[in-house]
Amino acid sequence: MKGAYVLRFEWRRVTRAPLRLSSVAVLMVAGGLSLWFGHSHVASWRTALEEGRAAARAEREQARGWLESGRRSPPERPWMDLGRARWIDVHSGAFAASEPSPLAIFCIGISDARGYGMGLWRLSSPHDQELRPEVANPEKLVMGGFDLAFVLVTFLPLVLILLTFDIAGWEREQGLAGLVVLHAGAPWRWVAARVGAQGLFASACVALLWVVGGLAGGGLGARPAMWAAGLALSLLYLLLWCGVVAVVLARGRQASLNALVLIVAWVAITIVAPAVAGLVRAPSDRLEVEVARALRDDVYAPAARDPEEDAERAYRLFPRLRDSAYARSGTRDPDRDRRLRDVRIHESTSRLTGRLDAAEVERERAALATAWINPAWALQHGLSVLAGTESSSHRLFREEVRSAALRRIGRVLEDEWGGRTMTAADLDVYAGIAPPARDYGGWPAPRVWVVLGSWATLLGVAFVVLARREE
Amino acid sequence: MTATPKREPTRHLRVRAVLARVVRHEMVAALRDRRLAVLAAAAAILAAAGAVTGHLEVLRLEERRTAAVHHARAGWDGLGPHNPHAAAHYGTWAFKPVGALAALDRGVEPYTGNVLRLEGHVQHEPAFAQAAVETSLLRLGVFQPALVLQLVTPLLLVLSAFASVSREREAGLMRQLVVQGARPAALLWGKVLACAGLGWAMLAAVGATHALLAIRHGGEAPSAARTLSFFLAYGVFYFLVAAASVAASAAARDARGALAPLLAAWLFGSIVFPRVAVQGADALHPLPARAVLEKAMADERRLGVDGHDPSDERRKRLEEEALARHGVARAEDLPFNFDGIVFQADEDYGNAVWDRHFGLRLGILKAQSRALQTAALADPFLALRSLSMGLAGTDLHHALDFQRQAESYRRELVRRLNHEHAWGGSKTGERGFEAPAEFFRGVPHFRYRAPGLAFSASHRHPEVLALVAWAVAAALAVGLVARRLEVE
Repeated sequence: MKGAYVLRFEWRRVTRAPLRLSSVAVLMVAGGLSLWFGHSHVASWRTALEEGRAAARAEREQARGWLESGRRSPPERPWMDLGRARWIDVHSGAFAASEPSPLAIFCIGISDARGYGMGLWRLSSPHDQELRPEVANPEKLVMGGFDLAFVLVTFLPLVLILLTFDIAGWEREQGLAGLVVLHAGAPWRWVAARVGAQGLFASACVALLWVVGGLAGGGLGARPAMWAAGLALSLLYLLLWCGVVAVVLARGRQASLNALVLIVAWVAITIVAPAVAGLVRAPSDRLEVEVARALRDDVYAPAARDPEEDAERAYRLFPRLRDSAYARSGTRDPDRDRRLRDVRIHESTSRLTGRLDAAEVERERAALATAWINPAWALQHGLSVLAGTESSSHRLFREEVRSAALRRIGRVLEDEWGGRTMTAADLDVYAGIAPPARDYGGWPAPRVWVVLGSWATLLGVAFVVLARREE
Repeated sequence: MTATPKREPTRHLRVRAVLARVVRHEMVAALRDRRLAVLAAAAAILAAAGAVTGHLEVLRLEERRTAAVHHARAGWDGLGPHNPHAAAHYGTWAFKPVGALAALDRGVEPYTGNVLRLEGHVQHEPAFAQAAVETSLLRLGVFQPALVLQLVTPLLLVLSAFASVSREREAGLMRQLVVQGARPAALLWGKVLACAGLGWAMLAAVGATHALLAIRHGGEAPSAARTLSFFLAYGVFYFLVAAASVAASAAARDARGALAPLLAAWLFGSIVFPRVAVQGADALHPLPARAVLEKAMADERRLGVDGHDPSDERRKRLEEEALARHGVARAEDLPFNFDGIVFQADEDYGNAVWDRHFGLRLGILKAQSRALQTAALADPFLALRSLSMGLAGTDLHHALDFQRQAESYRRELVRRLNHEHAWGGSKTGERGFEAPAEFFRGVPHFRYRAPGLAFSASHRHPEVLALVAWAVAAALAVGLVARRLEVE
């Protein structure tokens, strides 16, 4: 049995059977369409950030205009005083942005359900009451995105099934099994070679889609290693499905029954297992109560608290405050002490965000633990992490927003306690106290590779054992 | 003249007898087919497990919501003597109750927050949705009865019916039955009913599990009309799938020829087309970027809807009118606190701005919904999916209704507070004014009134029509194929 013959034979089976040929065509069309949808999503992501930045810039320029014309407030807001840091902070037009990664075109992950940009001031809190997702129809969100990750997770296995389900079964039904043994020697090698050949054709389709997406989204040039990792993960998933197909075919049944078993396996792996795995998560008990407490009760409570206690808290976070003129004076000015409230509010909202983050980390851990029974999600997760559209990427962004907000509180306290009168130039200084604009694409956990690799290996071994037994 | 009336009932009875016999035979055959029985049992277990987990999830969410409602109310009721405007900023919360049928279909709820902050000056959006803290696992589906009922059960029906006629025809059984006097139509309808019966049995399993859990754990009882409509929609859909599968089986040359188009239709209709349709609706009617929307609202509120009526000038006009009406020279001399009047005027203006922008957004969302409803005419899976959410009270329209009711409450709450600020006994500029604690305790709390079945019907009738039209078309297809069998 020569590999080249098998390849040529399988190639003819693909090109001469309308069902197989059309399934490959549908895969390519769906892949192309998914890349287009991914590209549109990334384009609207960029547009939304640009619009956000433009609005923030306009606010800053308006404040600059007031200051440069000698005014410290607009006529309709006479209580404002741009000579003070607290108002410069509000009107500096700082903007926090999580940029789309060049690989986001492949996998939009949960980026359409999370916020990726927000105007920043000292009390910014990165929970979704402020860092809100773009306005979207929830019916669209619940249906899910049509990206390449979806095509690879659900379509690709189906196409492989269509290309391979009658391998060996057809020969058996036609009474040609004996002839196969005569020519091929070990039938399991013959089955493996034929499934492998179809796997190779499918791999070529996958690689082509990745190249097109890599060129369209810029991932091939900007992140070649990550692009290659995404392609490798996709091929590993395909290998896993080759294993599933081979194991089913090795049982030696009729082609139609093999098709049914493979369809059931497909439903189990791509629909049922991820949904069941979704049950394994850490619920956030009494979240709503925490929300009400952090965003209302704690915001209004500090007014009644002891300013000395709040000052100590602020000194711990910003030691340089102790050296300010106001702190050294030993007097208490209610107006300046009001800014100590910001520290307390930040701590309160940080506790809430921390609680949400902890629940999210717990969910990620639980989800990753289920990856062993959920290889479809292992691929989805791996691609989402590479594309910076997984919950971990968004959490990283939120953390940077939180840290920038804290830096702004410190700066306002320093400026106000130092008695500084702000100028137009300070608008730019405050605009700069923001997380660096970058994307949050990263490397997936080793477990993703191990899970997909182990499944592929295990199925390969199971195939050999079963096929030999069938012999 | 006397012969005809006697012959008709006999023929009618014979058809019914054949029908009953075919249904019984098909069911026995299905039970004897171990593979199908195992698949059906697995699907039933999945559906029942989905009902159990869905029910527990709803109980958990409802428990959390009740605790939060008590917490928010306690905060408000415990305000004590307080400045009414400060109380408007202190605000309160609206928490959307989880409907009993959400246990069967969570719909859009994982993506729409059920927590809404209500305060003066500003209209917040519902926040803290499940998707805000969920991993990408959410993208691959939520385990719930709707997943099993919408995806797995139709596949099971296809697998049970695709060979029902073609196999008998290949074996020559069909011809023998027709020769013995059985009418092909009766044979086909028997197979349709047997196949649909499998789906109805799955529905019964889910319904029974849901009812048992509801009786055991109590909680809010769903409306009987809603529940019945929910199951009826699925029942009609299963009839449609069964009829289409049997018709395809009868029309195809062999079983394999029937399976391929049925599987393709299932895959395309249930998984691919809905995703492409929502993306298409979004591309046809794009929503504006959040930043654009918020800037436009802020600008209109500050500079006036036409950009030439700034808020300070509006205030000045209002003050001049009030001073002229009461014949005084200064706001401090007015017999009420003019600040309360200004707050309410600003609130009214802000409400008008919000109504306009929310209306525009709503218009786009409705246009997207209409596009999806048009698409649902071509895809009964999409029609069922939307109808299921609508009947479970978990679709977009119910989410918007919650937002509307909460906003109406917010306006009434702020109006009361501003009225108290203006007419509660203080004078203009008296910032230390405090309304008594009884006033705050006397403000009624937010209570969400879940809309009835008519609300769902008014929004989802195109899906109902689509589903019924498809069911009728499938029934006609069975009739046509039966006639062809007779000719053969």
